[in-house]
Amino acid sequence: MPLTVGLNHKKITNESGAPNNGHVRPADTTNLKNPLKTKIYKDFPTKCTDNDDLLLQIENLKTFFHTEDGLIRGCDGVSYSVKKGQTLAVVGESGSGKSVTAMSILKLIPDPPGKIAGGRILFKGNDLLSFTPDEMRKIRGNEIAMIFQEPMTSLNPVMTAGEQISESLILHRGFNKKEAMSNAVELLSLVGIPAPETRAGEYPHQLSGGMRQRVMIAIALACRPDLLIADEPTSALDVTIQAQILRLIKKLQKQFGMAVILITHDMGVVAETADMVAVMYCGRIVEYGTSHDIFFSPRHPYLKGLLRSVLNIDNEEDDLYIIEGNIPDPLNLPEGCPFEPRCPEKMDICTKQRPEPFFFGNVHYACCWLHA
Amino acid sequence: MLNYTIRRLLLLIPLLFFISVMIFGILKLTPGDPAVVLLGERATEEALELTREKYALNSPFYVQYVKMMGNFFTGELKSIYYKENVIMVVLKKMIPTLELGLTALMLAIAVSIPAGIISSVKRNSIFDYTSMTTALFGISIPVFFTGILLIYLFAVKLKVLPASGYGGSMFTIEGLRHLVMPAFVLSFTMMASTTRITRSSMLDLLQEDYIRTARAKGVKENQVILKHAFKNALMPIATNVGNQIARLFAGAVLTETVFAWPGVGRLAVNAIFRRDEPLVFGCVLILSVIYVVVNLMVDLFYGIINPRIRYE
Amino acid sequence: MNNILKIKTFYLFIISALLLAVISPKAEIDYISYGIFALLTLIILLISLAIYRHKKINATTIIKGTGELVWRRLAKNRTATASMIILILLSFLAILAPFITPHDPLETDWGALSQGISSSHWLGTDDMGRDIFARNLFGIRVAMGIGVTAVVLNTLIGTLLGLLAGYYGGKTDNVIMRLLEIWNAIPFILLAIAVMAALGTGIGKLILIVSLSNLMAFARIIRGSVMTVREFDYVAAAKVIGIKDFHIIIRHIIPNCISPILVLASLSIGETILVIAGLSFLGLGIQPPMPSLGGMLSNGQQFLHENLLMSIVPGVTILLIVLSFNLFGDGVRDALDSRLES
Repeated sequence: MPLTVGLNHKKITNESGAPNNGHVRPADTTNLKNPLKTKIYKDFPTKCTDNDDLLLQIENLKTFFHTEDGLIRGCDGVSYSVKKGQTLAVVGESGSGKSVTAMSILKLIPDPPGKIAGGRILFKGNDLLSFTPDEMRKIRGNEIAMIFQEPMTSLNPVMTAGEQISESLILHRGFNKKEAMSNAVELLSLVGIPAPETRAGEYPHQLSGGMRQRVMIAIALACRPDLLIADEPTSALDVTIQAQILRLIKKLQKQFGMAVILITHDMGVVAETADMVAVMYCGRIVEYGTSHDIFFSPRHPYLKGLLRSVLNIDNEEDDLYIIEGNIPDPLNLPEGCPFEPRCPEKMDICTKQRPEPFFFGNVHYACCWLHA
Repeated sequence: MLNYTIRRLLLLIPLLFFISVMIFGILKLTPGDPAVVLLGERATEEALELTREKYALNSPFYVQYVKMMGNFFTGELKSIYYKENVIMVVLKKMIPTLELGLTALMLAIAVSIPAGIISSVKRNSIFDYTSMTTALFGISIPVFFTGILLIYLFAVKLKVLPASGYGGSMFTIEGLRHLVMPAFVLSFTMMASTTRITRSSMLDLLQEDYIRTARAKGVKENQVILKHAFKNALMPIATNVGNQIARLFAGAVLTETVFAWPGVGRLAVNAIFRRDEPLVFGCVLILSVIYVVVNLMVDLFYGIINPRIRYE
Repeated sequence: MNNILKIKTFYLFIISALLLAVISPKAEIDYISYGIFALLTLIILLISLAIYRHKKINATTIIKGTGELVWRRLAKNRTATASMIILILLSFLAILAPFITPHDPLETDWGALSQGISSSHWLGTDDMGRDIFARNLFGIRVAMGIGVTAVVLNTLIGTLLGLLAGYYGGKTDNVIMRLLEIWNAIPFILLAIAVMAALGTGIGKLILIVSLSNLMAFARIIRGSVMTVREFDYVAAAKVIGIKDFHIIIRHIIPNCISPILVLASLSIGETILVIAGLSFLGLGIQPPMPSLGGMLSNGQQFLHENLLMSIVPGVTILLIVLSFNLFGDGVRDALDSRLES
């Protein structure tokens, strides 16, 4: 294993000044005192020693799609963890497996063709993969809720907003219709919809895109979940609405103490909201770290490229940086590093062997041979 | 919804008007003396002259049309063969037709929708393959061939059901025994087509984002299917049922012929052979009105299930 | 892509030109049906050849055009291929009917009434001693010939109306669509009854009525796509440089609407054949003594006790024809509809 404990120790001191990562602190000290403990967790790059805080831990998750043309590894050995109240941003291009991973957590992968082929999804210490469909249903919408990308199509066109919100209250809280509806109205006003009583009785086609996404949030928050998965919640919205929705999610996160997994391809959104960041490429995490690590000491060439390609007022270059090439065909992934064909810093080994995670601190790692 | 209903009802008036003009126009194409056409070949010259006057046969088209409709509604338009008021002749045959048609419609809906839903949910199961193959045969087999096969099986070989004819009201045992085969035969095509539509729209809808939302909410799978998917599938299904009703009419004419069912369809066909043009006019007009009204009901139902229409 | 579309339109025009002759009352029906069948077989052969050629391309080959993808999908669809083979066989049976059976379908043999299967009468004889197999073959010929003719005419008229309504819009659109709505508001069977009552029966009238039956569906689809295409810049550009409307429609609009037309047309052949058989069963379609599958069944029902073959043979034949056309239509739809995926 190229994982070196020594390097870890060195980096920790550098990290002490990083903002917003107080949660990493306890882990730091334990690791310092007991370096052996790191070894136990070394297979799982998300080394979290403070298990009380840990809400969700994904270990080596593999979700494969058996299509007519061949096997697609939608998510291939992904590991990450989320602590209570924390925000994890999962970044990557479309097709990088961000959503597949998230859908796997709720076991909502359409089967066929999809199948969770391996790994563990520990939620509050229990492996969701061992749950029966009934047990899983009690988790969905209740303890883990999800918001989707397309507010236009994610709401049922023949049910009113109120009905759709109250549905999960009736399911998980045992409310009767009337209680649920009055709760739904409250939720609508909580997510900032004016005249919630009227809106509750309206159908999706009568609502604007931003309002529909607010309704989606209200549905997700109805049962006060511990974890909210937001799958590109703002991509389909106008820029002005995007900021409102993000702010709303942040506000509600603080209010309810939820953890949030925010899936996005917008580095700006990541900078604004994330505590931890996982960068995905071709179904794998290529770099993982705190928001500070990711923005101030990016290691993986892909992440560096991503950051350079973000429009920046201070940037003096005239042209926006472009990562050359396209993501490889998921049916024929390169044998070595999947980013190798596009990588400006590729080496011989990159074509031959898949890179392992290399650590630059307690949590920060990148899967790149440059750092071997 | 009220607006929609009113608009639909108002549209009915010009529609019915144009339909009657069209049917009248088509029948006007008959070569030969229209008075002879209306009275039959054995009419006396005196009666013919009277008819020419009564129907204003020497006047322009629109006057003739108005006269014809007037005579039709007042019962002056008489069937050549039955020598009776056309409306009465048709109405007498209406009950068997309605019994047959409505039973078939209900049967088709009652069988096809559950079958389609189960097929879509248990995709590629034995049930799915069986029902889809049956449905494929159902849309490909001629109504009269199904009828003949059933008659052969149940009436000729097994001798459990009567081969043909009407056994009185469907609420009597005898009436029901006579109704079973024709109703099934008539409903078979529609059953097949609706099963296919139900299955394919359910399959489409189960891919929708809002189904994923419902699942992410923790909604029970059967609720996902019935409440979330099926409620939406009702719209394409209603459209298909609307389209199928025209075929049901054609099927009804054939079924009535195969089973010697004393209904309006058979009456109309026989009227052609008997050169009973007034009766053809009556049958076609009345059946068209029924068709339009049934379609209106389907449209209104569509309005009820589609909130986009209901709230505009 | 463009080549294939051109070929398709070309076929359509040839078929229509030939088939238009059918409804002219003087035409010798039998002679024409030979023509139709020769053509139909030629087309089916060409299609199968194309499919065979494309089947040989293996999965890793890069697909060049949409047309190629469509052919490959059709070839991959086993039921569609099987149904096409059945249709080819049936067409051959129908074309070669006089050479396959020594019996004349109209010849009555009073010495061999209502016989079962034998070496001289392969499927027995009917109540008048006519050879069922021979009648069946000629029945197939008439059913498929008239069915295809009617669908082609239906497609042409519907497309024309849809084009006019969609391209010119406004008043033209309103008038055409309202008229079609009224036409559509009367169930087809009732229209057929009214027309038959007024004009009497006959093959020409039968084709005329059936080819007017499904106009609405065609016109609606074409109108929709024309309205979309009409807004495209290249149509505007063509107008600006003064190209005639007719030319714009032929060169720019039809190629864009061709695939929904093909899907609808291939899906409606089966149903049209059923309708024709139904009318013949009622005695309103093809008139005896000319053999028709529907008429044979109607006759067969009267002798259900004595001779089951009289009903089974034409019934199964209709089922087979319609089933094959339906499967083929499904295949065409699947191949064309999802052509933009993948």
